[in-house]
Amino acid sequence: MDRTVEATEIRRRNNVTELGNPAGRPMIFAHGFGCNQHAWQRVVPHFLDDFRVILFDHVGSGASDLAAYDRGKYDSLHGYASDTVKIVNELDLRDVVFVGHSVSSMIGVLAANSDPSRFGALVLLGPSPRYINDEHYVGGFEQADIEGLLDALDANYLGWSASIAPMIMGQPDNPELGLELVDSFCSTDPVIARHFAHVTFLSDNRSDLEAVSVPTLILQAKEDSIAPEVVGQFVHAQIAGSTYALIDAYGHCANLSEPDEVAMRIKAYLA
Amino acid sequence: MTSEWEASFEELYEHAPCGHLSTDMDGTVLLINETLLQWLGQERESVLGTSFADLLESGGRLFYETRQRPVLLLQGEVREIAMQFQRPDGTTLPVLMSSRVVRDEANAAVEIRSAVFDSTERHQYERELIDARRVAEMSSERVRTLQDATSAFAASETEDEVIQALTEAVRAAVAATAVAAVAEDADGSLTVVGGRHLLDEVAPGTRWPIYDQAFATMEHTAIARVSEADEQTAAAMRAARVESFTVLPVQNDAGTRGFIVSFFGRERELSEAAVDLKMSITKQAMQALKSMRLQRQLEQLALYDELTGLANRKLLQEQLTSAIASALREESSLGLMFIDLDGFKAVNDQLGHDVGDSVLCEVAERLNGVVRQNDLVGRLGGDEFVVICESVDEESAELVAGRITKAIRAPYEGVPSRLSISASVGVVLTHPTSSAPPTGDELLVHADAAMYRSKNTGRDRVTIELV
Repeated sequence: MDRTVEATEIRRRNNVTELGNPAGRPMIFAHGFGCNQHAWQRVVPHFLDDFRVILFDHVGSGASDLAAYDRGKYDSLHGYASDTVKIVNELDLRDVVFVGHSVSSMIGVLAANSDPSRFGALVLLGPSPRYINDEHYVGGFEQADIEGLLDALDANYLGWSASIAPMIMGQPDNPELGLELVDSFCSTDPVIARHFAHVTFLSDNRSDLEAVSVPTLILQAKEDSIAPEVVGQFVHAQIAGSTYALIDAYGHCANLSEPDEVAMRIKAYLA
Repeated sequence: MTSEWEASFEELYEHAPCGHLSTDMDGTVLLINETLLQWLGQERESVLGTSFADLLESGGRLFYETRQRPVLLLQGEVREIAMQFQRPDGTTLPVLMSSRVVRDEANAAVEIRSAVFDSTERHQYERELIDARRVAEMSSERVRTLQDATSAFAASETEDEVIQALTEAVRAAVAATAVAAVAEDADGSLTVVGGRHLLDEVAPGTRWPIYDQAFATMEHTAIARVSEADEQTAAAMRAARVESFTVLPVQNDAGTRGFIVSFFGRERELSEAAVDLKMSITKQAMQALKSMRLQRQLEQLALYDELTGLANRKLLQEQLTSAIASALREESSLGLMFIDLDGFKAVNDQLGHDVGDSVLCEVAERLNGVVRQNDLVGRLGGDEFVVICESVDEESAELVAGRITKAIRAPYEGVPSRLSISASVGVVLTHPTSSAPPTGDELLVHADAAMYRSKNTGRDRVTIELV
């Protein structure tokens, strides 16, 4: 395939958005399970002046190309990581700062491990290399809890499109950002959502952490029932030379609840 | 008056027919009404100040944190979310919940207010609906996968294509990163014959211990995690980023054994249904391969002489046509030899058909032994044979024809010396030009005429004609 055609294809497949200062250091934001690139809309404005900002949707989420969802490829986080590397290569990003939320923290780790030359820094917000408890490791959940999540997903998909989708057409908080709010924030294909839930919450990437060679910042919320502090500290201990920052946030989506502090911490780390 | 109003509003709030709950933006419970406390079997003091997420059962908590809360924070409102509270006694309360972010005068988000409806009854039948839908989805997925596989096998023209379609169908059926087909050769070695073998890519040609394990039982065998594997396999798994893999032994109708190997990028344990599906697809592929082999046998029968195994008239004509075309294209010469046995009729009449047949087979073998490597030997019928010689000059044609007469005249087992056999050979050599290229039939007529001159001038000799 022609290189520019392929680049266009990847932009379309992952719904790539480019914002900010084209001359600035590149910074790519990756959303977590259940979200899409709009999960970053309160954090991104802090970086528009000085950074070249790239947002995208994982295949299967948001406004990505659902037809590109190959169950075999996306049966592990490696599939998502290889997409990330592809985007970074196609946009020819160098010294890129990768900011990943939740499951995308591990996707970023895998991407940076497979091609460290492109990545200048990793910012992991609420990372967990494994959600299921295992002997001496505390992940916070049991296998049965994941079944509970799948039940909850299904229960809400029964009437999902009817009750939720029209409502989330509302106005974005930062219209000046130029991010049109898509109607698909939550209304992904339920079959894909279930598969992504499996892959997110049943993966075990603990052994990938020690291979990280890129400077890494771990942002841990004080109270996060999905990725508790003990997990954040585990990640910090496994990644040699990583920086650990506890932020004053409750819950798993500090990018939405405490965007200013998240942005401030990232800036301080990169400064 | 005012206090009466207040009292009645308070009464309305506390004992409303639905639960009410307010939290701050961090999810800390600020206010909860009596109705919800009773539903939850909780005391007010133990709930106030705690985190809302802690009131949920853990699966629901995952849902709340990853789906509901992000939407609420982004959109300011969510409606009729199905979730389950956890009661202190271990039971759960299924509810529908609508929530809204409340803003102060400065438009800052300060509070989340929720209305909660007990959905126990509804939950029961929705649960049944979900279960039924999952069963329906699974069986329609299964049917679709099998149908896709069937049409892919039907569209395949070669064995390689069937095997490729097989690995792709299995990959889709079990959502594997990659699937490989491995076949056992006659000498017992194992070769990847289709798909991608991720472990072989990092350590080519390894005989993985799991193979012999699977052959021993001929049952679906799995390594569900790296820690279960032997050291060598584990090292390859790490290098190939394979967290688990499965091996399904297969055997085709011809007795050849092999495996379908599925690789996964995370720890996976396949359900019985998934293994069944994999087996059904594989069975179909084996069936497709079997009918392909039968088809090939039929084609073989249609193109080769049953007695001698030489090319028959049909194949000779096809090959002659393509030899003329390639001689034209490459501007090379082409030779056609017509061989008629001398003395064969007497052998057949006096010694019987069995001896006659064995002589014909021996002739066929001797002809194949003396022609050049790429020459094609065929039998037109009876005791008439033909050799197509591409790119041949007069000198080597004469050489080959000479070897033929010499080979044929040698004695035959079971044939007394009084009944000697020899060959009358007619050779036609042509350098076809595009203005008037000869047809295959014309060349055969010329070669036949040259053979007759050999017959008429004393047999056991070669006549060469240039056209």
